Amino acid sequence: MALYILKRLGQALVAMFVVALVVFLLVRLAPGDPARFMLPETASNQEVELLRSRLGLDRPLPVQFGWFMKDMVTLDLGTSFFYNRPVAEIIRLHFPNTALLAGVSLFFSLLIGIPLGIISAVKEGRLADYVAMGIAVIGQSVPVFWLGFMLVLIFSVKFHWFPTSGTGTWKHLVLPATTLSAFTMALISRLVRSGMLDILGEDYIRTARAKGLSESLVVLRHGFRNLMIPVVTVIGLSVGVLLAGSVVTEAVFAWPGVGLMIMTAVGARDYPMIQAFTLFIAFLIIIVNLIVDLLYVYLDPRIRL
Amino acid sequence: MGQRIRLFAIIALLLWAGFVFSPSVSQAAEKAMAEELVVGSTTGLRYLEVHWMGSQEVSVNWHVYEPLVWLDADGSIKPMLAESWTVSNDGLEWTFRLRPGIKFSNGTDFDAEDAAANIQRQVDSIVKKEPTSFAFMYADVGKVEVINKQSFKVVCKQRIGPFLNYLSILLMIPKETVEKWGPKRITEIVPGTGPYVKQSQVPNQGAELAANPSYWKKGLPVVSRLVYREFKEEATMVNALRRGEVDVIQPLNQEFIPLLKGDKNITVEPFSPYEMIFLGLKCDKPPFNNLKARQALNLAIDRKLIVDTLLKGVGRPSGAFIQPGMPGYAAQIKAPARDLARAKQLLKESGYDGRKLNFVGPPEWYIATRESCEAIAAMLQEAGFNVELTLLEGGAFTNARITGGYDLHFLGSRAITGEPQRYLDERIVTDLYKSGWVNKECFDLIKEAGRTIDPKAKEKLYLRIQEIMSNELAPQVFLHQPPGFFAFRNNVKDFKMLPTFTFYAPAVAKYKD
Repeated sequence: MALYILKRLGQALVAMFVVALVVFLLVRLAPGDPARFMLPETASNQEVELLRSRLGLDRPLPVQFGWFMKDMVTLDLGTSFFYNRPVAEIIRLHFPNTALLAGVSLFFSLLIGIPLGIISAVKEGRLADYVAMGIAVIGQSVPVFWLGFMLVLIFSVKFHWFPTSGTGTWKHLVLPATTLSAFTMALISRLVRSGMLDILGEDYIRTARAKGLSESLVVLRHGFRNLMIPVVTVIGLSVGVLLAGSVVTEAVFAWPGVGLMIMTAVGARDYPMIQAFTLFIAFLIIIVNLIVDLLYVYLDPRIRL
Repeated sequence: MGQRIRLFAIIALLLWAGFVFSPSVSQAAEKAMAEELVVGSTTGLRYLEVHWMGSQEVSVNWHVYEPLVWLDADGSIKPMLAESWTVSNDGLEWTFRLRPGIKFSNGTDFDAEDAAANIQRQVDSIVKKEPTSFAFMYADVGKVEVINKQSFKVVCKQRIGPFLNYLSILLMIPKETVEKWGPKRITEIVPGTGPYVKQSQVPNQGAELAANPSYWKKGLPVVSRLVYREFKEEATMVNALRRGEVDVIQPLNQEFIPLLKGDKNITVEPFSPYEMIFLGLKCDKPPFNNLKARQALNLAIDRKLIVDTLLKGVGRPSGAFIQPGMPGYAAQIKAPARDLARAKQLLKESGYDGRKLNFVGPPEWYIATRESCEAIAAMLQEAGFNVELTLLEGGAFTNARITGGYDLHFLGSRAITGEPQRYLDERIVTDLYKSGWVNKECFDLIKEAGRTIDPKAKEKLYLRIQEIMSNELAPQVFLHQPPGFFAFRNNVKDFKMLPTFTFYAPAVAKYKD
């Protein structure tokens, strides 16, 4: 196990290096000079060049990349060009909000998606199946921003049940989390349905029924347990989906998370912010996937790492 | 009889109870003041640095920090931290007398040394090549001398015509802060003399201000907390206003006005900003190096149609860049009516060879940007120009303008200082957008206007400058002055947007619902 973890961490380092290189090059390919954006429009070319030199932007790309990697290794995430504050401070201020939103969204997704998938599988071909899968298709198809605005119009503006935006209380979390969870809820419910249909056709399920066990025991104790591996896999994949989807949800609900910060950073060509945020998200996804792989061993003793 | 007396007594008792226990007329009329005013905007606050900011940062910051003089809504300059000033006959020395008894919110006195340090900081930032947002306005300041605790003198190398306008957006911070940071951007909240104290400013969230208990204008601010909330999406901001989570939103796009006007709890108001929308032309290459091609473009555009349909009739077609309320406004220079036939004729005479013209436009920086650009492109096509419109993302658009990578571009200019000199210096003489247009007479007049302090003399110069630019139709062709809108809940009183796209709210009242 320890060897496996070490091997995975080694792979993670390689993945992080590749992500760092790609992000480093991509931001520099976009038109626009960060030094020009930082200075007033009236700044002379000489002043722009001086600032570029101060920021190290006039150095050859391999030199800039070397500095960047050195800072990352020493966990110095740099200073935001746009806000003139340490990037680490900005992440510290905003990541907990995104983590909370993503976490609650995942919880909603599982809370609704798993039962929906099970019901759909058990009642295959009947009205409940069609309704459940209809909900899933809508969840996967509807644009996040449209869903968010619709929820606000109905539950905030019309009924005054929840706030329209911002943070502060648990009520502020309900609509954005519901919006963000729609896609992953749909994904989970379809996966659970598909997996459960396969499982319900297995011999051991037939045996359980033949022993006289109730249908709910058959489905939940014998059927669902064997579904945990694919469910845990999709949870791991969902982390990436939720973090990416948080950009739009945070904009719609003015939720002060990292998604919103990345949007601002890209528009402002804030290289330190874009690079640091991207690497941070990549690191999170890698760690989550590692945890998922380790969970496999716990869930299925047949699996050896 | 006894029964009548008892009945009379009961009625009298009831009437007495009614007078005693019901609110009096004055009490009923007196509404409780709310404790917090929340202003929403889609423009974010970037820096904690006070001398490095855009219009929204000015809006928030001048509730905390104050300038020496105040630019009023009618364009006049009024005393603020400076109670009076004089200028020498040669226009090179400005002497300011400060209001006594003003303190920063940390209790230290505001005096001439603080004022001098703030102006000197702008000058030093140029020397040290780390210019603040407004440093170039002080490029002709030679030295700043403190006379005594209440007075100081600014000695200029050359006359600075709009000097008072420039000072109206230079916000005062303690000299200790200036000494500590020099020209480097400040990254902490510093004390000011204003009606509020800044308690926090968080990226992408906004700022929270609390009343300054020792503010020098008694009775202000009316509402004890001011919160500035940032929104990425305007629809979210509009919904927050409808729900009562914010009290004011600004600026507001026209598409939301019908929705808000349908809400009986909300009022929408227009304001006339110091903003002009124009097409910038690349005048150093064909076709716009030819006056007839520029004239053809000018006559091909139907400004009235754009204002009437895209701006819903609110806005003003214009043929010159100075807006009403600013010095030099030329009412006699009118926007021409569209004349398609003449435009085609002129284009033919110019020898235009049909080459594709790169027309670049910004994202939705202004009201109806995309629609206006598309309409203009179509109008120009009708006249015979082969135009390809590209609406660019903000950074790419700025890059295209600054590097001259366009044939024509759509842009607006805001006069945050309430005067046109800055626009003329930056965009015409310095040729910020690399148009390549040169007119010695016009440039000399602009430089002279920049050295002129007498308002009447300045007015004449600005009129002549505008005549030249409207005859030459270069380097910009002016389209219209767009409208501005803001909206507020009806329990908010006296909130106004200033023409500089800023707001100032210490006297704004907000009553509890």
